[in-house]
Amino acid sequence: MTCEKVQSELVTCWGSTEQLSVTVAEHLDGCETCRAEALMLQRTRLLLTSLPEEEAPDGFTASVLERLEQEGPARSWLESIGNLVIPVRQPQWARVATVGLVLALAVAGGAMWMGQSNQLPDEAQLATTVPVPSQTLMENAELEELLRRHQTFEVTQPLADDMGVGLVMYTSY
Amino acid sequence: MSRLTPGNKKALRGLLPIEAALILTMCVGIAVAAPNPIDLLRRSIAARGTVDYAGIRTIVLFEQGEKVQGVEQRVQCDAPDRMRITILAPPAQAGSVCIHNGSVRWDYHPQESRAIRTPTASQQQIVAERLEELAQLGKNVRGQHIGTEKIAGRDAHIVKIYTRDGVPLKKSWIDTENYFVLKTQRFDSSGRVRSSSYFTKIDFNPQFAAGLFDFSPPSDCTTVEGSRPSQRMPLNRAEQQAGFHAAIPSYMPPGFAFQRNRVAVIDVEGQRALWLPFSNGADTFSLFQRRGDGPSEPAMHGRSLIWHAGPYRFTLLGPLSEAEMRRIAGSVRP
Repeated sequence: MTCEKVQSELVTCWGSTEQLSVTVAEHLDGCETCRAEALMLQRTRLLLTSLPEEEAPDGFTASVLERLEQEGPARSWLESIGNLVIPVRQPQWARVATVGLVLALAVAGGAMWMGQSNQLPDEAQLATTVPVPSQTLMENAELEELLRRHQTFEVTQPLADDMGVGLVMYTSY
Repeated sequence: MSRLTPGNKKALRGLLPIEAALILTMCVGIAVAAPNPIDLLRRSIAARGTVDYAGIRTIVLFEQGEKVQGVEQRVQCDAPDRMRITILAPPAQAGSVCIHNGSVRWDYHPQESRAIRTPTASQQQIVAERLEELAQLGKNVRGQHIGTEKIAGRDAHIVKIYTRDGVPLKKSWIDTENYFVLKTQRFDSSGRVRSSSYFTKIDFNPQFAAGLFDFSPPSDCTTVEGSRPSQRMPLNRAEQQAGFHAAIPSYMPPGFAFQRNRVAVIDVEGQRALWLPFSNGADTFSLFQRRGDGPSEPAMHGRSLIWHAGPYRFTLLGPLSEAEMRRIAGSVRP
């Protein structure tokens, strides 16, 4: 796989290496350039998601609508908003492009923010993914006992994680 | 074919020491640039018994590539033997704690008003056992040092471990200074990330409040006493004690092997049960076999699979996918 294809996949997931295809993950292991690209995207995402939410000042919406009416129907709404933030002496394409960029960043930032807030799913989400157990109380007690025994063996394995990770692996019991 | 003339031979003799020096320099350079991955793992196991720390860790689980669970924990460790893990999120589990102090582990779940006290081996014993197992495992896996990366503001070596067949098992990010494991990823048998655990904050000079690692269950809480660690033995001895033969699965996921010398006989519901452990070094699954009934078709209960075949009841337990567990169960012939 080429660096170009890998970087294209990285862009779609903003540098997160958790959900990459195996081929891309393997490529990243051996490619310093693509790892640097992933890191840069992760930092950009962090920057976007850490921006505080800003409230629009009182009367902002009304003033925008009023200005739009004054500009008349001949101009596109994108161009009209551009006039609010970019001086009229600047070329039209610059005003439109600037607004487009700001909107794209806002949408991307919002999407990433939503993505991050979904990282720790709530109970309702988990309920749909974890099968509901139907065992009797006795079976529950037996399974719990066997699980504790299993975990004591698990932590002795050379590549095992510590007991905190094991706690999460078996939370659905 | 050209033959070496005396002049050429003389020139070659002059070159050989230079070439040898160059090769030696390259070898030293490679050795310095790429640390031995198994040696890094060895140091990281030893660091568990020596490094004090306090940090915040996120653990995310995936199934078939989909995120299914995320947990945030505060982890505090006063090496070698005292550790406290507190669940911070999700809210339904927040406040649950797991405390390891010497040779006792407490699990307390305030939502259920329940505490479980389990006698365990000491951290030093666990570290010694893991180092011994690593020496054995080194023959069955291969490691690769991928490079370095920053995790929680610390420089870390990235080490990836594969089975001999090239199936990835685990990726670890190991602190370059003290060899503490800052991040891990574990893979399923198709090579997808199955779990990811990483510190977002870490402090290696923590101050611990007095009593942080002590635990006394609240008066209104139910206390459950866990079993003592089991004695492990070779399969034939365990079969003699249990009074029946083990049914070993003929299918195992890639990289897994039956731990023939680490079988145990335990008491379950008044019956002697064989505890058959399987491991690939990173993940383990256990098959419990005892006389008794159960569902004739394998049925999932949480992360375990229970079924009945011949005079035996089987319970298969471990962090495997349901498909893998059913395939293993299908290969058990009592």
